[in-house]
Amino acid sequence: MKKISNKKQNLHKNTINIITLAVFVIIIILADVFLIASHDRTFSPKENRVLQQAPELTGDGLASGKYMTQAEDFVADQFFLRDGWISYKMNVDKILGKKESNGIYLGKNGYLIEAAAVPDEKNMSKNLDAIADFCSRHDFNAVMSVVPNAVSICSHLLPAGAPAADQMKYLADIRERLSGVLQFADVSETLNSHNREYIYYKSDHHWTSLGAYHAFNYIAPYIGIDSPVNAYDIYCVTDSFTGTLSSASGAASVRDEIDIYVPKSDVRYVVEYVNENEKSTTVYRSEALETNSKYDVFLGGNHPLIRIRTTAGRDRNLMIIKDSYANAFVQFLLPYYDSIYIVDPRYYSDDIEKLLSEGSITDVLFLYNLNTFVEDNSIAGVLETF
Amino acid sequence: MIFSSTFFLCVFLPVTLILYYAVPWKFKNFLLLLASLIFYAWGEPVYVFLMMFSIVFNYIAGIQLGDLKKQRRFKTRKSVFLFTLIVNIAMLCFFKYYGFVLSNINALFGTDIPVRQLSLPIGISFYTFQILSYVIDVYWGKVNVQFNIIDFGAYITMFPQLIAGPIVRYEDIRRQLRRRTITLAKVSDGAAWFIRGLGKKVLLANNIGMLYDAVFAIPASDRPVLTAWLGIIAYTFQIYFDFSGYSDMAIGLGKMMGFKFLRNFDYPYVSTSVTEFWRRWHISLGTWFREYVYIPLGGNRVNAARHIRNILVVWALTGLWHGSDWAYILWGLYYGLLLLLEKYFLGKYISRAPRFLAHLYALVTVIFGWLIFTAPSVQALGLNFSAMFGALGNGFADGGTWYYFASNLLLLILCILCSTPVVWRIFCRISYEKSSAGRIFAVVCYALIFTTSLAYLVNSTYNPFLYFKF
Repeated sequence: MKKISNKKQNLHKNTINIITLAVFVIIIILADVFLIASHDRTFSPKENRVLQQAPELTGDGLASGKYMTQAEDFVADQFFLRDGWISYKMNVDKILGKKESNGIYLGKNGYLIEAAAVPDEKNMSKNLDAIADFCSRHDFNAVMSVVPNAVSICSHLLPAGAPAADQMKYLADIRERLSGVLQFADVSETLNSHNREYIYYKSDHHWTSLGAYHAFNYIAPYIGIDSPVNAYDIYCVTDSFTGTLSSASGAASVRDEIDIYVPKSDVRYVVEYVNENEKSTTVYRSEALETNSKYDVFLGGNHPLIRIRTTAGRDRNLMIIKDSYANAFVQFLLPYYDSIYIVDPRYYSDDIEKLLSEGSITDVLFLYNLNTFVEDNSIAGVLETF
Repeated sequence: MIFSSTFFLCVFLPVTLILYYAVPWKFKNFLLLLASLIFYAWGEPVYVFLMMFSIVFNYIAGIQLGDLKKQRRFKTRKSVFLFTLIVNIAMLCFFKYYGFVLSNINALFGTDIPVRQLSLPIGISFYTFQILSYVIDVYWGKVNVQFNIIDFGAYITMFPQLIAGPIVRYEDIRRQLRRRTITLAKVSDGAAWFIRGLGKKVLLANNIGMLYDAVFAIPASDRPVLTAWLGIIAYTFQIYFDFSGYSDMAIGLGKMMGFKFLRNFDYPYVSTSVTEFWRRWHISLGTWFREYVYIPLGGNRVNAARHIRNILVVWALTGLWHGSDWAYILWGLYYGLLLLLEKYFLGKYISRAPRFLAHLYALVTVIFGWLIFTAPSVQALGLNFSAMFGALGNGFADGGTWYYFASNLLLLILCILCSTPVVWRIFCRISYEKSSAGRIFAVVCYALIFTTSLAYLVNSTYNPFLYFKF
């Protein structure tokens, strides 16, 4: 290469810099024009979160710095072509060879897998003590099932070598600490033996109906179901479900199917959303399929208390104390109980003892996924007596 | 407010620059002062008053030092000087070292004084050192008294370097405060500097920083040897690209407003000795300590014993400047000792050794330096150190090691290349080619760096500010 003079070099450098400056200025102007012209996007379906609106200027907001934070979020949230920038970033990450994004592994076969949550020891001890105390106060049949997450059941789908915390260790610890208090229905082996099947969603942290089905077959004898029907009408209700992991990681291309399993039985039922004062003759909410949170097709998502009354006539009444994993599980239970009380301690704040006697509860099932259970801070509050 | 945010780029910067260019010269410093105060108040709505007090106090002190010189009242002048010095240092110490000193007193005397550490005003270490450079130089008669409080305030608060340096000495900038030029060449050169700095910070530092965070989130007792090394190497790159990225952005913003700051980093990781490393790392801080501590103490023009004392004092203070914890003092002394060792003993061997060996020596010492720097406690330092040599029995590597390695390989290669002058040299070579293709290539590079950084900022979930402790 021929060496060119310093003067020429400077000239070239200036040209480059000036065009660079132009690019810099144009992009900023574009961003500002769009910000001023259209800054009213309230919700990002892709990220599944509410976007910051123009903050109001107040003295308090200024002094505490809240106004500043909101103003900064506002500019980032209302940035023009925001979704495009996010996909762009994801692609750069991919080129860089990154295998995780915001604590979510970009696994094999398009699977997005949430990293294992680390137990919050303090709250977990409180919860376990409260559960032990609650069960010893009453003489119902107490069963617990804490479901391991995809990160440990489907570890073959993780990026090679991805460090995953040892969920089985946490599970064994929980089981050990509740031994003698209740029956522990450990579904990990069952799920492991089906781990090549579609038992967790690819884009969401929940299990599929198939996952819940396998677990149900295992748990059934514990909760007094001797001969499950084992005949279902299976319907695929959507094939365009993009779940929370998709939005949280920014990996937008993954789509899931949602199946529902309707037991073949003559039992009729009524679902009552107590706090909402709504009734329904089905556990499925088809309107949820029109929204972004399609998993809410099961019981319309989480509610403080749901009461289901059936025509089963078996003299058994079940209470489920649960997180959202149970939502896809309830469909399997309908033929076997006269009533099912579904309590979500994260939202329920009423007297649980009253429910026990009102419903003549014979069986209590604690149904959680491990990630939620080890971080939960609400169970103890609901189980302790007033 | 930090530079690497969409708010700064799209709101603060354009508004400030448009107003700054629009007003006539005699108002430019006032505008700069105003913008800088808003910039500071944005992150520190309360402490901005502390900074304003500092400006007024030192402005008056400067004038008094000048008056007393004219009146030839040298004794009083010395007292005023010492008083000013003490007030400035006391303010710094109160906010930065109060908690540290108290907890040490408690530990030492078994007392139980409640420790309530106030939050540290951002950038106080940087602007206090700028103020001190003015006060000391005025006292020494090296510079004239600044009678214009707006110029003085603009110097102290100047937002480009306010929160993360470089530490601009008054001497280096006093003329520019009165007379500087704004040309298209300078402004566009500033934009190029800024984009390079933004890329270093957002693309390299933030991304490799996640590797460091991931590794150090594993308890030392579970960390295999290779993983431990990967982690600290990741930090080595993170702090360099973060800090030098900030400095480059500051230099670029300065240029866009007609200033010329001295460069703060000069490829420190190509050094072949610790002595060379500190000539290339955070140059403005090294210069400050040399000018205002080391040389006044006698520098190296004293006998060996005093020289050793001088070095150790300077480096203990350098360590302490970075944060109020024993780990920082230890880190400073570590470098003090290494510098002494090189000066009195190792130097001749290093200069004779093969270049790559000398280079390896420098890199490894610097990496151990960062290990001390990041240690939350002396005990943790011991554990982190042991993990790097397999003393905790976790083997050489595990599945996680290869995962971290594979998913960061490209980034690591980029970091290695970008910490040497090679990339910049090749970039220049191509862009100065005769044909216009070279120039197109260069502009595309800048555009890509800028847009990619923006994409990361829009999706910002990880954008740490590392200098809260400085």
